Amino acid sequence: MKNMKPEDTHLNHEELLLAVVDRADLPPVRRQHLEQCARCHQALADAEAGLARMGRRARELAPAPGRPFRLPASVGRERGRRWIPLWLTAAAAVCALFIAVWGPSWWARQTLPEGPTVAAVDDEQFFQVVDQLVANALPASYQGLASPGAPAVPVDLDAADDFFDWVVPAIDDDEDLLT
Amino acid sequence: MGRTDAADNKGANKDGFDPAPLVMQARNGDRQAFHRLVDHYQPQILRMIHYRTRSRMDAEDLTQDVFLRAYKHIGRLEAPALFRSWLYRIALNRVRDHHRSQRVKSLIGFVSTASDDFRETEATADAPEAPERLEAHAFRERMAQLMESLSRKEKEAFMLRFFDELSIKEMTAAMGKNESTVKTHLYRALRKVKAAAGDGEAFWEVP
Ligand SMILES: [Zn+2]
Repeated sequence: MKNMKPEDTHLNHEELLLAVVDRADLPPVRRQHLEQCARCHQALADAEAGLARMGRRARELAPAPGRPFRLPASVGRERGRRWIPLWLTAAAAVCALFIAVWGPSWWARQTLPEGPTVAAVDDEQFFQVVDQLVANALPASYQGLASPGAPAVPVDLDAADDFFDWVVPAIDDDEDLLT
Repeated sequence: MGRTDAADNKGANKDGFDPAPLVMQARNGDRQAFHRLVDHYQPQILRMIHYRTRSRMDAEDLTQDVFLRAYKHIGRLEAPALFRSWLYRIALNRVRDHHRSQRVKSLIGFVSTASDDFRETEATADAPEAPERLEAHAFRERMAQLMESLSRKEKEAFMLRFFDELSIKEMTAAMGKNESTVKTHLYRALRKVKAAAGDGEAFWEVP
């Protein structure tokens, strides 16, 4: 037992619960153990099955709708502008500033008879900045939402809450859910 | 991304129903499309609210209100594929408002409230048959006992995940919190539920 490596020991209760939340959050060595150990695999399956049973029981005991919902004839949809999140406004401001500051001189260099080497260096710098802006159009942590294949980036930003407010807004503007 | 999120980037929910096309139609004023969305989601929204209010009448009223609000503000939803999460977000807000107004009423003596979800009240006495009612009562008592020490957010995370069957990604949208916060609440909830259940092999068992 003394010489047991981490990959040889069974998952403890904390690790089991971590795996219930999301087994991808286990350290790779422990995840590997889980994949290869029938006992741990069964313990996780039992815990998940028990929780699923608990949820199923709750759903069975809850009532079915007694009143079908139909929209009253008088109800219309809200028409109005959506607010724009701060980070999107900031990105737009950076773009505008960039165009205002660099745009004229870049354009002048295109039209003035200047040495080809200098123009090429300027172009390269310009496109590097543009590439960077495009690549970072969304905060890294949100890029996974837009492109499912993208590598997962840990999301621990307060800004995430603003993002969700924008994508799936709480419809009472003055409310902050579950704070 | 974890196992729970494998299907989250697709439009279709776990049950294979893709709300996005109907949401787009409803945004253009198609009321029939919205009614089809309601027909699909009303049972789960009603259940979700019933777990949290323990009153069938309140759950019916609040469910109607959730869909009315959703229709009025559907133009604000930027991600039609997340319609279900958005409904849960609206519903969570309505439940919170309901609890607030209940607390105010209880302060002035109109109603009595138990703060715990699932704790049986007169309002839940709607099961007609005695054995079923006893079983329901036992289940609610057990759940109330298991969740007694959970904070409001932990309780919310636990219920959204296991009773409402939302994925982690859907929970982030419904709770308006980032993924790591949601997972932390869920993990803490599981630890407390397990501690409350004791150390038996079948620590998740409920009547
Ligand atoms: Zn093992």
